[in-house]
Amino acid sequence: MTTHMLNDDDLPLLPGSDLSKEDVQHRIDDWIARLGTLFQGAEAWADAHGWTASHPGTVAMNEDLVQRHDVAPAEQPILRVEGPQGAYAVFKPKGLWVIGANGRVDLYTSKGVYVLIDQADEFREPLWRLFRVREKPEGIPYTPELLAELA
Amino acid sequence: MQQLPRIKAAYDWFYGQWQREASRLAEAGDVSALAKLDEKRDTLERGVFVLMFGQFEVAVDSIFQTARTRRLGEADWALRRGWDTGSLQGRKIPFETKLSLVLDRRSPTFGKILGTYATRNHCAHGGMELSVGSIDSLAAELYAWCSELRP
Repeated sequence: MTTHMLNDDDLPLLPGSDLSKEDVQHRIDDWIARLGTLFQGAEAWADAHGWTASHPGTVAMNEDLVQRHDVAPAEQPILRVEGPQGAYAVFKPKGLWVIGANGRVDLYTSKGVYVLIDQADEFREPLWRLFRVREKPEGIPYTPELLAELA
Repeated sequence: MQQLPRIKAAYDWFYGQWQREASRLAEAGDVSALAKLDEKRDTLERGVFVLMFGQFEVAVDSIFQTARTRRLGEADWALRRGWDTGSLQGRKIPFETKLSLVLDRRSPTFGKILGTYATRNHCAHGGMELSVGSIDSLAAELYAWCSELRP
Protein backbone atom coordinates (compact mmCIF):
# COMPACT_ATOMS: atom_id res chain seq x y z
CA MET A 1 0.00 0.00 0.00
CA THR A 2 1.43 3.44 -0.90
CA THR A 3 2.06 6.00 1.80
CA HIS A 4 1.54 8.96 -0.49
CA MET A 5 -0.58 9.70 -3.50
CA LEU A 6 1.24 8.64 -6.64
CA ASN A 7 1.63 11.57 -8.97
CA ASP A 8 1.96 10.82 -12.65
CA ASP A 9 4.95 13.16 -12.68
CA ASP A 10 6.69 11.32 -9.83
CA LEU A 11 10.20 10.30 -10.70
CA PRO A 12 9.77 6.67 -11.66
CA LEU A 13 12.17 4.87 -9.35
CA LEU A 14 13.20 1.34 -10.13
CA PRO A 15 10.75 -0.82 -8.17
CA GLY A 16 12.52 -2.28 -5.14
CA SER A 17 14.84 0.72 -4.80
CA ASP A 18 13.79 1.06 -1.17
CA LEU A 19 15.28 -2.32 -0.29
CA SER A 20 18.40 -2.46 1.90
CA LYS A 21 21.45 -4.49 0.96
CA GLU A 22 20.39 -7.08 3.53
CA ASP A 23 16.87 -7.23 2.02
CA VAL A 24 18.34 -7.83 -1.42
CA GLN A 25 20.60 -10.60 -0.10
CA HIS A 26 17.68 -12.19 1.73
CA ARG A 27 15.57 -12.21 -1.45
CA ILE A 28 18.45 -13.68 -3.44
CA ASP A 29 19.04 -16.44 -0.88
CA ASP A 30 15.34 -17.27 -0.96
CA TRP A 31 15.32 -17.35 -4.77
CA ILE A 32 18.30 -19.69 -4.97
CA ALA A 33 16.64 -21.96 -2.38
CA ARG A 34 13.39 -21.99 -4.37
CA LEU A 35 15.28 -22.89 -7.53
CA GLY A 36 16.95 -25.71 -5.64
CA THR A 37 13.61 -27.12 -4.52
CA LEU A 38 12.11 -26.72 -8.01
CA PHE A 39 15.03 -28.57 -9.58
CA GLN A 40 15.00 -31.31 -6.96
CA GLY A 41 11.41 -32.08 -7.96
CA ALA A 42 12.33 -32.31 -11.63
CA GLU A 43 15.40 -34.43 -10.89
CA ALA A 44 13.40 -36.81 -8.71
CA TRP A 45 10.87 -37.24 -11.53
CA ALA A 46 13.68 -37.80 -14.05
CA ASP A 47 15.30 -40.40 -11.82
CA ALA A 48 12.00 -42.23 -11.30
CA HIS A 49 11.39 -42.41 -15.08
CA GLY A 50 14.83 -43.41 -16.28
CA TRP A 51 15.79 -39.95 -17.51
CA THR A 52 19.13 -38.36 -16.76
CA ALA A 53 19.73 -35.02 -15.07
CA SER A 54 22.74 -32.74 -15.26
CA HIS A 55 23.77 -29.23 -14.33
CA PRO A 56 25.41 -27.77 -17.44
CA GLY A 57 26.32 -24.48 -15.86
CA THR A 58 25.01 -21.41 -14.12
CA VAL A 59 23.55 -18.01 -14.95
CA ALA A 60 24.93 -15.04 -13.03
CA MET A 61 22.34 -13.05 -11.18
CA ASN A 62 23.31 -9.59 -12.20
CA GLU A 63 20.09 -7.61 -12.11
CA ASP A 64 20.26 -3.88 -11.58
CA LEU A 65 19.16 -4.11 -7.93
CA VAL A 66 22.01 -6.52 -7.22
CA GLN A 67 24.56 -4.15 -8.76
CA ARG A 68 23.14 -1.05 -7.08
CA HIS A 69 23.42 -2.60 -3.65
CA ASP A 70 26.88 -3.96 -4.35
CA VAL A 71 25.76 -7.50 -3.58
CA ALA A 72 27.94 -10.28 -4.95
CA PRO A 73 26.10 -11.71 -8.00
CA ALA A 74 24.79 -15.15 -7.10
CA GLU A 75 25.01 -18.00 -9.55
CA GLN A 76 21.66 -19.44 -10.55
CA PRO A 77 21.87 -23.16 -11.38
CA ILE A 78 20.72 -24.53 -14.73
CA LEU A 79 19.13 -27.97 -14.90
CA ARG A 80 18.99 -30.24 -17.95
CA VAL A 81 16.99 -33.46 -18.03
CA GLU A 82 17.20 -35.88 -20.96
CA GLY A 83 14.89 -38.69 -21.89
CA PRO A 84 14.43 -41.21 -24.68
CA GLN A 85 14.43 -40.34 -28.39
CA GLY A 86 16.10 -36.97 -27.98
CA ALA A 87 13.67 -35.58 -25.43
CA TYR A 88 15.21 -32.87 -23.29
CA ALA A 89 14.23 -29.99 -21.02
CA VAL A 90 16.50 -27.19 -19.85
CA PHE A 91 15.45 -25.07 -16.88
CA LYS A 92 17.26 -21.75 -17.28
CA PRO A 93 16.51 -19.14 -14.60
CA LYS A 94 15.69 -15.75 -16.09
CA GLY A 95 15.80 -13.85 -12.82
CA LEU A 96 14.10 -12.94 -9.58
CA TRP A 97 13.05 -9.34 -10.14
CA VAL A 98 10.68 -9.69 -13.04
CA ILE A 99 7.47 -7.75 -13.67
CA GLY A 100 4.39 -9.46 -12.25
CA ALA A 101 6.03 -12.47 -10.61
CA ASN A 102 8.39 -13.56 -7.86
CA GLY A 103 10.94 -15.01 -10.25
CA ARG A 104 10.94 -16.61 -13.69
CA VAL A 105 12.54 -19.70 -15.20
CA ASP A 106 12.58 -20.29 -18.95
CA LEU A 107 11.94 -23.91 -19.88
CA TYR A 108 13.53 -24.91 -23.20
CA THR A 109 12.50 -28.31 -24.50
CA SER A 110 12.61 -30.32 -27.70
CA LYS A 111 9.00 -29.21 -28.30
CA GLY A 112 9.05 -25.52 -27.43
CA VAL A 113 9.96 -22.76 -25.03
CA TYR A 114 7.76 -22.24 -21.98
CA VAL A 115 7.58 -19.64 -19.24
CA LEU A 116 7.58 -20.77 -15.61
CA ILE A 117 6.86 -18.10 -12.99
CA ASP A 118 6.34 -18.14 -9.24
CA GLN A 119 3.05 -16.36 -8.55
CA ALA A 120 3.30 -16.54 -4.76
CA ASP A 121 4.06 -13.48 -2.66
CA GLU A 122 7.58 -12.96 -1.32
CA PHE A 123 8.80 -15.59 1.13
CA ARG A 124 5.61 -17.66 0.72
CA GLU A 125 5.33 -21.26 -0.44
CA PRO A 126 6.01 -21.10 -4.22
CA LEU A 127 3.14 -21.26 -6.71
CA TRP A 128 4.84 -22.25 -9.94
CA ARG A 129 2.68 -21.72 -12.99
CA LEU A 130 3.55 -22.62 -16.58
CA PHE A 131 2.63 -20.45 -19.55
CA ARG A 132 2.71 -20.83 -23.34
CA VAL A 133 1.42 -24.38 -23.00
CA ARG A 134 -1.68 -26.27 -24.23
CA GLU A 135 -3.04 -23.03 -25.74
CA LYS A 136 -4.16 -21.97 -22.27
CA PRO A 137 -3.44 -18.23 -21.97
CA GLU A 138 -4.15 -18.42 -18.25
CA GLY A 139 -1.37 -20.99 -17.81
CA ILE A 140 -1.42 -24.22 -15.82
CA PRO A 141 0.00 -25.23 -12.43
CA TYR A 142 3.47 -26.69 -12.95
CA THR A 143 4.32 -30.20 -11.80
CA PRO A 144 7.38 -32.24 -12.82
CA GLU A 145 5.04 -34.80 -14.41
CA LEU A 146 4.45 -32.29 -17.21
CA LEU A 147 7.97 -32.97 -18.47
CA ALA A 148 6.76 -36.17 -20.12
CA GLU A 149 4.41 -34.07 -22.27
CA LEU A 150 6.59 -31.01 -22.82
CA ALA A 151 10.03 -32.49 -23.49
CA MET B 1 -9.59 -3.07 -22.76
CA GLN B 2 -10.78 -3.04 -26.33
CA GLN B 3 -7.36 -3.23 -27.94
CA LEU B 4 -5.85 -5.74 -25.51
CA PRO B 5 -6.73 -8.78 -27.66
CA ARG B 6 -5.07 -7.11 -30.63
CA ILE B 7 -1.92 -6.26 -28.66
CA LYS B 8 -1.82 -9.78 -27.28
CA ALA B 9 -2.31 -11.34 -30.73
CA ALA B 10 0.60 -9.29 -32.09
CA TYR B 11 2.77 -10.41 -29.20
CA ASP B 12 1.73 -14.06 -29.68
CA TRP B 13 2.81 -13.90 -33.32
CA PHE B 14 6.23 -12.47 -32.38
CA TYR B 15 6.62 -15.04 -29.62
CA GLY B 16 6.04 -17.80 -32.17
CA GLN B 17 8.86 -16.43 -34.35
CA TRP B 18 11.14 -15.97 -31.36
CA GLN B 19 10.38 -19.46 -30.08
CA ARG B 20 11.40 -21.08 -33.39
CA GLU B 21 14.75 -19.33 -33.35
CA ALA B 22 15.27 -19.89 -29.62
CA SER B 23 14.55 -23.61 -29.95
CA ARG B 24 17.06 -23.89 -32.79
CA LEU B 25 19.75 -22.12 -30.76
CA ALA B 26 18.95 -24.10 -27.59
CA GLU B 27 19.26 -27.37 -29.49
CA ALA B 28 22.58 -26.25 -30.95
CA GLY B 29 23.76 -25.22 -27.49
CA ASP B 30 24.57 -21.67 -28.69
CA VAL B 31 24.30 -19.97 -25.30
CA SER B 32 25.70 -16.64 -26.41
CA ALA B 33 23.31 -16.27 -29.37
CA LEU B 34 20.44 -17.34 -27.12
CA ALA B 35 21.33 -14.60 -24.64
CA LYS B 36 21.27 -11.97 -27.44
CA LEU B 37 17.90 -13.26 -28.63
CA ASP B 38 16.65 -13.10 -25.07
CA GLU B 39 17.56 -9.41 -24.89
CA LYS B 40 15.39 -8.74 -27.93
CA ARG B 41 12.49 -10.54 -26.29
CA ASP B 42 12.98 -8.55 -23.06
CA THR B 43 12.84 -5.27 -24.94
CA LEU B 44 9.72 -6.25 -26.83
CA GLU B 45 7.96 -7.51 -23.71
CA ARG B 46 8.64 -4.29 -21.81
CA GLY B 47 6.95 -2.39 -24.63
CA VAL B 48 4.02 -4.79 -24.76
CA PHE B 49 3.62 -4.50 -20.98
CA VAL B 50 3.33 -0.71 -21.25
CA LEU B 51 0.80 -0.99 -24.08
CA MET B 52 -1.25 -3.58 -22.19
CA PHE B 53 -1.33 -1.53 -19.01
CA GLY B 54 -2.37 1.44 -21.13
CA GLN B 55 -5.52 -0.47 -22.03
CA PHE B 56 -6.24 -0.95 -18.34
CA GLU B 57 -5.75 2.79 -17.80
CA VAL B 58 -8.32 3.46 -20.51
CA ALA B 59 -10.74 1.11 -18.72
CA VAL B 60 -10.19 2.86 -15.38
CA ASP B 61 -10.78 6.23 -17.00
CA SER B 62 -13.94 5.06 -18.73
CA ILE B 63 -15.46 3.59 -15.56
CA PHE B 64 -14.42 6.66 -13.57
CA GLN B 65 -16.17 8.92 -16.08
CA THR B 66 -19.32 6.81 -15.86
CA ALA B 67 -19.17 7.03 -12.05
CA ARG B 68 -18.65 10.77 -12.17
CA THR B 69 -21.40 11.47 -14.71
CA ARG B 70 -23.85 9.34 -12.75
CA ARG B 71 -23.20 11.16 -9.50
CA LEU B 72 -23.04 14.66 -10.95
CA GLY B 73 -26.58 14.09 -12.14
CA GLU B 74 -27.81 13.38 -8.61
CA ALA B 75 -30.09 16.03 -7.18
CA ASP B 76 -29.43 14.70 -3.67
CA TRP B 77 -26.24 16.36 -2.42
CA ALA B 78 -25.50 13.42 -0.13
CA LEU B 79 -24.96 11.32 -3.28
CA ARG B 80 -23.32 14.11 -5.31
CA ARG B 81 -21.04 15.16 -2.46
CA GLY B 82 -17.39 15.54 -3.46
CA TRP B 83 -17.92 14.46 -7.07
CA ASP B 84 -18.50 18.02 -8.27
CA THR B 85 -15.22 19.30 -6.83
CA GLY B 86 -12.95 21.01 -9.34
CA SER B 87 -10.14 18.47 -8.98
CA LEU B 88 -12.38 15.72 -10.39
CA GLN B 89 -13.31 17.64 -13.50
CA GLY B 90 -11.25 18.03 -16.63
CA ARG B 91 -8.73 15.57 -18.00
CA LYS B 92 -5.66 15.91 -15.76
CA ILE B 93 -6.80 13.70 -12.93
CA PRO B 94 -4.08 11.44 -11.50
CA PHE B 95 -4.50 7.74 -12.19
CA GLU B 96 -4.48 6.89 -8.48
CA THR B 97 -7.31 9.34 -7.85
CA LYS B 98 -9.47 7.82 -10.56
CA LEU B 99 -8.64 4.31 -9.39
CA SER B 100 -9.57 5.09 -5.79
CA LEU B 101 -13.02 6.17 -6.95
CA VAL B 102 -13.78 2.96 -8.83
CA LEU B 103 -12.01 0.42 -6.60
CA ASP B 104 -11.87 0.11 -2.82
CA ARG B 105 -8.49 1.33 -1.60
CA ARG B 106 -8.59 -1.33 1.09
CA SER B 107 -8.80 -4.19 -1.39
CA PRO B 108 -5.54 -6.18 -1.87
CA THR B 109 -5.89 -5.51 -5.60
CA PHE B 110 -5.54 -1.74 -5.11
CA GLY B 111 -1.95 -1.96 -3.87
CA LYS B 112 -1.00 -4.46 -6.57
CA ILE B 113 -2.36 -2.19 -9.29
CA LEU B 114 -0.41 0.80 -7.98
CA GLY B 115 2.75 -1.29 -7.78
CA THR B 116 2.30 -2.32 -11.40
CA TYR B 117 1.51 1.26 -12.37
CA ALA B 118 4.80 2.38 -10.82
CA THR B 119 6.64 -0.28 -12.82
CA ARG B 120 4.79 0.81 -15.94
CA ASN B 121 5.92 4.40 -15.34
CA HIS B 122 9.47 3.25 -14.79
CA CYS B 123 9.50 1.41 -18.12
CA ALA B 124 7.65 4.14 -20.00
CA HIS B 125 10.15 6.76 -18.77
CA GLY B 126 13.24 4.92 -19.91
CA GLY B 127 13.69 2.08 -17.41
CA MET B 128 15.26 -0.88 -19.22
CA GLU B 129 16.32 -3.02 -16.29
CA LEU B 130 13.33 -5.23 -15.67
CA SER B 131 12.18 -8.28 -17.58
CA VAL B 132 8.55 -9.31 -17.71
CA GLY B 133 7.52 -12.46 -15.83
CA SER B 134 4.83 -13.58 -18.24
CA ILE B 135 2.86 -11.48 -20.71
CA ASP B 136 0.06 -14.06 -20.53
CA SER B 137 -0.07 -13.83 -16.73
CA LEU B 138 -0.12 -10.04 -16.89
CA ALA B 139 -2.95 -10.06 -19.41
CA ALA B 140 -5.00 -12.39 -17.19
CA GLU B 141 -4.34 -10.11 -14.22
CA LEU B 142 -5.42 -7.01 -16.10
CA TYR B 143 -8.71 -8.63 -17.09
CA ALA B 144 -9.28 -9.76 -13.49
CA TRP B 145 -8.53 -6.28 -12.13
CA CYS B 146 -10.85 -4.74 -14.71
CA SER B 147 -13.69 -6.97 -13.51
CA GLU B 148 -13.33 -5.50 -10.01
CA LEU B 149 -13.81 -1.88 -11.07
CA ARG B 150 -17.17 -0.34 -10.18
CA PRO B 151 -18.78 2.81 -11.63
